[in-house]
Amino acid sequence: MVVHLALQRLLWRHPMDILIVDDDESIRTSTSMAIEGEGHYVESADQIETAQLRLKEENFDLILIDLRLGEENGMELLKLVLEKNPAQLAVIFTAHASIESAVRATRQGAFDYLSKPFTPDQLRGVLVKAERALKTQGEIRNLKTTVSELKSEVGRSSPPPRFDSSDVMMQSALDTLFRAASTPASILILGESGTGKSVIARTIHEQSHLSNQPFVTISCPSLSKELLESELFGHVKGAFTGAVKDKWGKVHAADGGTLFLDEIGELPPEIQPKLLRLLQEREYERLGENKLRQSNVRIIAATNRDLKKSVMNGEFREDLYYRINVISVELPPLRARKRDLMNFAEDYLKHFGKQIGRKVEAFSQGARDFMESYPWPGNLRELRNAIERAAILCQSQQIQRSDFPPLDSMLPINGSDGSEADRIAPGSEISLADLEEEHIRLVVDRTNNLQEAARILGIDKATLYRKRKKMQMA
Amino acid sequence: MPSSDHNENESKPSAQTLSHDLKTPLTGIRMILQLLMEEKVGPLNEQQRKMVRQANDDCERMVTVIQQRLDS
Repeated sequence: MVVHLALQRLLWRHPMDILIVDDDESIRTSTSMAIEGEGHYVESADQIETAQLRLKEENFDLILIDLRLGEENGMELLKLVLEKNPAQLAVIFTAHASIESAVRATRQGAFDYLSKPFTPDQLRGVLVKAERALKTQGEIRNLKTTVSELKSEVGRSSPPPRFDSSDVMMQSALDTLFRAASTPASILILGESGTGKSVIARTIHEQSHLSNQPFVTISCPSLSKELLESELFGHVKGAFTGAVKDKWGKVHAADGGTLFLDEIGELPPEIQPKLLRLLQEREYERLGENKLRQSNVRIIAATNRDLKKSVMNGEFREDLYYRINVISVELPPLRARKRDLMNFAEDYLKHFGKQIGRKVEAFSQGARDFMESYPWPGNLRELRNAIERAAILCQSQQIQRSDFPPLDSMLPINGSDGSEADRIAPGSEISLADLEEEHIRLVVDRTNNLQEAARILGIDKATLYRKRKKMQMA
Repeated sequence: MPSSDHNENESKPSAQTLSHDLKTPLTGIRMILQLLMEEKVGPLNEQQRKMVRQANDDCERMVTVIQQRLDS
């Protein structure tokens, strides 16, 4: 069984969760044994009511239903199951060899049927068919996700990413990453906020042998410790207050593909051992469940923190650090990539010009001088937003210096960079309303999502939404 | 029709019920014997293998008889 599971992992096979519904104990026992021998998980029920209770609590990949369940009719259960989920795979056990009953079952939506007395080989044949069908369903889901993402990319706020660089350090980082892309090695991407870590992570996945498999992102700072654990590993009903039904986590969703852990430096210490186990043993448990699950995921992680320092401070586990740090690169900040800066700026200008339907295609010398001297503490994200704003406000076909915000309003959040710029400090000549507006604008520009921005600002999302609406932000 | 004949006909199981009632336990027997032969529950010594094979052969004969008599 252990060897078989190991082979499955090697072949990227995913064990199915199977429910048998049959009133005969010997069929439940023998069928369960045959199914477990193939490396799948199996539960059983002897009547419709018991089956329905299990189905409320858990999703099953495949359900095997006996046509005659004592006095009950298995077709009723089939009907209920398919009403809840028309894509559910269900196989009928029937004692009739007639084509008629088989056709009736498949017309009602059964995936297949098995005639009693079936053999273990016949059962295995059905399991293989079900695995193939699930794989196809998964591929269709992936395609739908990709189409949806592509649709949003078409209308998104950035042009396609650029992966050639005139900067030696950046080019070296990209070369390392793309060489590692086609291996199963874990990758750690370091860099300041806004340097393109998540874009690069996705591109690594697309360049890898897993490009047809899921790419699932989890943002470590965006949730509380309990919710993050549930989001990652899933939970069973009753695991905590509010857990009203079973849920699968992102580890399950990413199985066979890539799991991108954004801002892994923020991963709570309590969750780090569980992530380590996933990386080492390819095993995990859902919150509140005592059942080991397998998941084969390739990990890409990113952080703007100094993880080595976090290890020394005891905030990050050393063994986990070395597990995710098989290949690690640091993306240089934009201020260190002067040669690339104008290339990016021109890409953004072209993109936003098209988006807003204006012919704005060049930068004045003054604008260029400003862009090349400004430190861009928010990196590419800040540059993108500044150029979008300039393209909207520009009154000619050339972006002028004046189309960028005043220098004293383009400032870093945490004071780590931008020492060349004047700082807004308590006591400077600016109104409270303007101070608040610029602070909100800068935080939103430099964070991945509104949830993270709200957390930094110390307000809830609804309040942030109201303030932005009031400021008439786009 | 005389009432005794009427009662007798009502108490005879239908072909469908008979088919189900025979094939259901036979399914369990057939599955278990073949899983034993495949040594899925542990290795068999030579004598055990011989006995399981014999039981499996008898089971297959029963399957054939039932399928011929009930399904034709």
